[in-house]
Amino acid sequence: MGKYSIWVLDYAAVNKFPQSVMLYGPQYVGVRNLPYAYVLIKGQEQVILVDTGYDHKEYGKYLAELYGVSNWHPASEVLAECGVKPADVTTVLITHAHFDHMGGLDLFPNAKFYIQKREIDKWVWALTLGPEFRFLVGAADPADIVKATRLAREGRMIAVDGDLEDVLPGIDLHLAADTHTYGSMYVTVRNDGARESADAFILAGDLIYTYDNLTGLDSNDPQLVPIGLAVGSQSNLLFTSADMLKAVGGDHKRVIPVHEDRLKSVFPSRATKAGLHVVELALADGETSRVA
Amino acid sequence: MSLADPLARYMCEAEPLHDFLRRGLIQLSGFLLKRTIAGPRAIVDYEPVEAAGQRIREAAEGLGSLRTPMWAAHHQRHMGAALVALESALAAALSTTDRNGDTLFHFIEEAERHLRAVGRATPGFEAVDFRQACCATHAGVAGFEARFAG
Repeated sequence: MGKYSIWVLDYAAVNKFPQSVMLYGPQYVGVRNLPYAYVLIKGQEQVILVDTGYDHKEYGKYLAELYGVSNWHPASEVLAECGVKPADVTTVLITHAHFDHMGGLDLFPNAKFYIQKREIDKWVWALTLGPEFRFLVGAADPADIVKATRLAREGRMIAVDGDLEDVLPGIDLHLAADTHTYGSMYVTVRNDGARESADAFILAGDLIYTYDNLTGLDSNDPQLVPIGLAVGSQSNLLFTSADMLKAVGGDHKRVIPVHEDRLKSVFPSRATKAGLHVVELALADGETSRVA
Repeated sequence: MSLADPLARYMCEAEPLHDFLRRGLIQLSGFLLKRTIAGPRAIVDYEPVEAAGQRIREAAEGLGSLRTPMWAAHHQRHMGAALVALESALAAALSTTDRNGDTLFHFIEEAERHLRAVGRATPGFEAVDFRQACCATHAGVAGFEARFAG
């Protein structure tokens, strides 16, 4: 039993996502199912989300039709699987500024949001470049940046400048500069509260898409393999992966790629009526299992 | 529908202007976001404002000569209103009196509302560029093939 309960909650999926994007390497090697998910952390009188998902309004429908995103469900419905309402969320930790991770900024009316300062600074800088550089911006939805501005003006958007220990008790933030995005962040939950934790989980955002990024595809000859989509460097992705692995004593299953379809078979899980999955990474003292 | 069709011609001519407006909005909002997060004592980087000013001027020039058929008037009206709001936002960003950003943010929100209305008025003018979404690389391949096939 740890201090926090931790669940990975699917909210949508891309059924045919190119493997070459998930795992740098040969092109045209097929597709995989790519769940869209966020992480719910509950305990210590806190309800924390790692990323927000996106809101399936206006551009969401356009997205679903154009890029194959399917089976989207709202946060109210997804969180209810764990007995939580969006208004209960106290803190949101944004791993990076892509729409499927921070496109739901206005869905959590009582939350404070944490994001890396570098992510915002470089996002805004990239927006000043010409359209020929739009690859650097990703899906920059004006609504997201306006929403972020509104939250900042309300004092609810907090920019973190680098690593930050104990943003909440036992929860650390780590900058992974110039990787998937300029200011990507991963989150460590030290679930025993110890500084040198023997019960840590790392919530990796999009720094890895799959466990294969940590192991390679040949179990007899393991290696780190970066994801195939970076505005920074593949080297930085590899060294970040190594750092994350080191922090969990080499147990790659504790470095959580939210887009990994196999999470549901690695940890206890259940399918919901909507065809989504609740994956239970840890259960705090006194908390009821949501997958039993 | 060919480009001889007034509506088709309007849509082709209006699309880049919509993109100028969208980019101007993002840049001004980004400027205010950075300024707000950095706090009142931080040195302000005006590069996003300069970039936004350029986009807004390009949009203004284009909208001034846009040939608008009657059935696109609603669309064009929201484009014009977004431009006016962005011009006011630009002035506020350059002002020394709007220190807390209230005026700037007011006009940013107004411009966003009009751009959202533009997006609803005409499919293809959505206020987000999904072409570079991280989940959309396969669509990008399809787009590449479509552009260079044959």
